[in-house]
Amino acid sequence: MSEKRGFSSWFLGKKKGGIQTPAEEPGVERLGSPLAGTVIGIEQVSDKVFADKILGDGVAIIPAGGKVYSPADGTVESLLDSHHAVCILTTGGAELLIHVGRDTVSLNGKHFSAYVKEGDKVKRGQLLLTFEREALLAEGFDLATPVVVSNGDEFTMEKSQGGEVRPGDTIITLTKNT
Amino acid sequence: MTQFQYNITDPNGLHARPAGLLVKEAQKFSSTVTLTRGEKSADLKRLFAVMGLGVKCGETVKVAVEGPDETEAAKTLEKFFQENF
Repeated sequence: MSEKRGFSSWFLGKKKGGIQTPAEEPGVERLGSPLAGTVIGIEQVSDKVFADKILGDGVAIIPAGGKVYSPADGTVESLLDSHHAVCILTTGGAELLIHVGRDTVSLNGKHFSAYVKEGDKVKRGQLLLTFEREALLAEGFDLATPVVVSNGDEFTMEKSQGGEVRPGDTIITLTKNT
Repeated sequence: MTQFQYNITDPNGLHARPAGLLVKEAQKFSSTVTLTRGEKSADLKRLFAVMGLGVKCGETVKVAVEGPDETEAAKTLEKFFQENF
């Protein structure tokens, strides 16, 4: 009898959503790294506008490769013609900006390719952009890539403290403020 | 309401980094600031809204400011456009 009760409370608990991983909790969103590389603090980015979090809080990644994947499910809100930056509105409501390198806007798209367009629905891990990492480094570009949340005031943010990441590894966990 | 028009001469249009600075500038004022491109408008205090308009070089945008500090806000923002876009 007691065994049966135990089972039923376990079952009810699960049904209420009591036993769920944080990723499935409403209001919690884990953003995957868009790139393979090394995570650094946003404060360490050489461009002061990003370091001062003018465009939002987040982290930056020093790319080890040239493929940029979507950190979350969402919609491509904006993709610049120069293909060096992309804005994703996540299904969790986060306004995400990924900005590849510093002053790369000046290249007008040279060394960059886009695999999505504005308005596209994207899945976490979907390829968004590619860039020719070696060519950009050879031209002297700083490729540290800020990944920032422009409406960060709506969330509590936990950030990766640094180290090597593969695409999709969690770099930022957002919990919607209530 | 105070408003002005501006023709974008930056070859990259209203791109991410300076757009962020523009939004920050607008946020300093209590007035509501609206950016209009053609038939679409956006809250100039929200980066995503501004980026979503996709303003390109050669286009004319309208900035409308309404509130207690609208005169000063319009003046500051117009100067910012002239210096950055």
